[in-house]
Amino acid sequence: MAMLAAATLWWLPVSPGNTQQISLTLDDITGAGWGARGIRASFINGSVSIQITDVQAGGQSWKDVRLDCAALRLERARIACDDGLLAAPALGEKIPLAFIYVTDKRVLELSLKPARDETWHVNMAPGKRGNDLGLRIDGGRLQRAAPWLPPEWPKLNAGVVNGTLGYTGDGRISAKLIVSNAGFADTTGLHAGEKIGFTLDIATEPVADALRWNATLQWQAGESFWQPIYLKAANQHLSAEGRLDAKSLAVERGVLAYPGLGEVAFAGVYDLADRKILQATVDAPAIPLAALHEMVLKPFLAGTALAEIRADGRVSAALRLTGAGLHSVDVKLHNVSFDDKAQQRFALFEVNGSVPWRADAATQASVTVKGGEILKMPLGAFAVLLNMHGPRFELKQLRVPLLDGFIDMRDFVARAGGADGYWQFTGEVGGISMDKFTTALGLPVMHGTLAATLPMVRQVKSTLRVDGALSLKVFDGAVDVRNLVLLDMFGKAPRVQADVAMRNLDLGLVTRTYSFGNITGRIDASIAGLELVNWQPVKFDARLASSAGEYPRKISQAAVQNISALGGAGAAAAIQRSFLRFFEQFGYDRLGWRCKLQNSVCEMSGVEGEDKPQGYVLVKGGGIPAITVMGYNRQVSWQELLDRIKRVTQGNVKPIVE
Amino acid sequence: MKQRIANILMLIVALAGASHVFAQVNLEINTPGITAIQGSMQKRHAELAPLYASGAVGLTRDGNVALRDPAAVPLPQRAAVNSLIAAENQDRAALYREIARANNHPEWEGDIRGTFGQRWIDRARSGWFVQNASGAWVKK
Repeated sequence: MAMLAAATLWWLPVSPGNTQQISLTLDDITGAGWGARGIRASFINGSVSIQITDVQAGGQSWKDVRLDCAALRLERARIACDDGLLAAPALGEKIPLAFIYVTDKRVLELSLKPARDETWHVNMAPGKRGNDLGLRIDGGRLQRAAPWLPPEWPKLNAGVVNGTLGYTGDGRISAKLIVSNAGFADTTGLHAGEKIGFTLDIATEPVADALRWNATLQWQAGESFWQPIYLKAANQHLSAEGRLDAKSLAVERGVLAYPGLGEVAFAGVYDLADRKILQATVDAPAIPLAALHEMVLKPFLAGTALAEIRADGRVSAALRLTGAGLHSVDVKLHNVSFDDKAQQRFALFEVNGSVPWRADAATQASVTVKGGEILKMPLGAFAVLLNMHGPRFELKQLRVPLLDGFIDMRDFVARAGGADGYWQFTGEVGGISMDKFTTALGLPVMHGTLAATLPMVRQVKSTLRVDGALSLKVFDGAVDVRNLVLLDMFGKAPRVQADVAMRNLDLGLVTRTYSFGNITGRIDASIAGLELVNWQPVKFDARLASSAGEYPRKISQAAVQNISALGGAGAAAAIQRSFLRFFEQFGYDRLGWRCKLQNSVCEMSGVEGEDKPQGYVLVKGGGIPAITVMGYNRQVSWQELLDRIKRVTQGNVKPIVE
Repeated sequence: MKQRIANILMLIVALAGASHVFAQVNLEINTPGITAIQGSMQKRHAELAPLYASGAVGLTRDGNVALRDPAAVPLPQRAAVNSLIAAENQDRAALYREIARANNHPEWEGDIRGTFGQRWIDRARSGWFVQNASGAWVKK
């Protein structure tokens, strides 16, 4: 019902001649959802001009709106205008319009024709209750809807809409709109769409204090990018129905049919005032993982090891949200397999099971894995029983078969959630043959069995820390790694700090492995203050010395040559060459070598307490025939030393016997 | 050699404005960490160069790169370009941090970033877009 306030009407017969003039002023006129202020209309000899200071509709306002009709036809039961013009500074253009108003039937036909191929046709007629309103759009420019969209949304920049919209006086609305070549973009470029075409059907019906609605949307053309997801039209079909009232928008049943992915059902309630989801459920049964990864997950995993994987199998997921956040997630895995297709670092095959997570209750995930691979080493079958309670995850024990041995993980605890997140576990590695292990990793073949104890391993933020000693047995001796810290582990330059101690290694096994010539004996080694950046040593204090105790001590001619080569060119000169010529093996008393690395320079010395003014002792002779090897270079660049070691272990240095 | 002298001169000029303590910084310092970051940036440069040339990506004053003209990147490639920019900026941040750390002055990271920002801009090829003193994009 329109309200009219303060109207003035003059009818002024103006002389001379037959000129007629009627002027009308209205202070304001308001209706449901619209209003106009400062209306002045004048009628001079069949030409009508209406000026309105301010028109408001749907929350928008237009200033200085002007409607001119050069030839208004006033007939007995009709008022008609064939050549009207609508203008307002905000429109930026003059829009031609035409209307016919049938006075006795109270029917209005209004056509706005902003462009040659664009018509907005309005039809208004009395219905059963109040007026019925119809709108037919032919070639409507979509950008005209821009003022009604929230300012934070990306801007519409192209698009044409065709279709109809109807409103009946009893409150029903029905619309069928076909949109083509639509485009939108924001200034950051993170949200954009191009050449989008879709069909939208909407129907609403009033019920007590609310509207029932249903809608279907079919996306036929174009592409969109909504950081980080890129989607292409493929006849995706969305249908939903629910209720709308002053406080909330409810989706009671929604289905998204996505070719290639399957059907996802959803429902929920959105609070219009607080602009937040009060509750929602999403149910996606048996989605093919390959398509899910390619279309949805991959963009979120960019830069991680999981971005470039080959995935297979199906995943079912059901999510429930409440106003407080995520309430439950139920994931079921059906024959899921995936592998690192580019770099072949990891793979898991035939993963099955269910993960029923609840925000406020204790549950258990049960997952079985038939097999896998890590760094090309085969993993056997294993089962995971993970206890979950909100952000906390616990795993009592897990044994993963690796090669012919196993990795045991015990007392795994993790807490999810940004800054407070961490995980920790203790464990053991055992029964893995070193020859299989080293062959798989492409290292020189070593013998024996790999066994290691993993004390508390803990990760907080990007720092991984091992409390206690990580112990392993190699070369018939023991290696302890203490104070192991891995900093910035996901960065480009991860840093490692540790102190390493090795006891009683069998030199026979070591030298055979690294083709160093043969040395019989036992050795202790320590690397104190080891610091690696990007896996390259930058600092350490390393010492090698013969172990204490009784054992055979022999060194081959080749080993002598190689040790000499490590000591630099000067070292070889000290060897009594005539000796070398006659004997394959020599006796020794002690071996010793120290390298203190700092600023890319290794400061070298030899057997402790045996330093001579002219050099240091690397091999102190003993027994018959005995040989002493001296080193003379006290400082050597780390790179040079590495090159020497490489040449020696690759067998490029041959013993020179004169 | 000429280029090297020019670089050093430029560096001296750039550093002249910094505090006298900061003037001791060695921007050419090398550690395995810095080598790794530079290697990673060098590899990425092949992908970034055409984006600089097309004006899609520009060099910011604060030593980063940014998507300047989204319209120059087709929608299917936009996620990849955004990841490329994010990865480059992550490397740059790590580089500034590592250089500060290697100089035993982690607190210089901000100054090092500022100096590098100017350095990348000075070295940008003609036709690339860089941010001027007021933050506006200009074509070199």
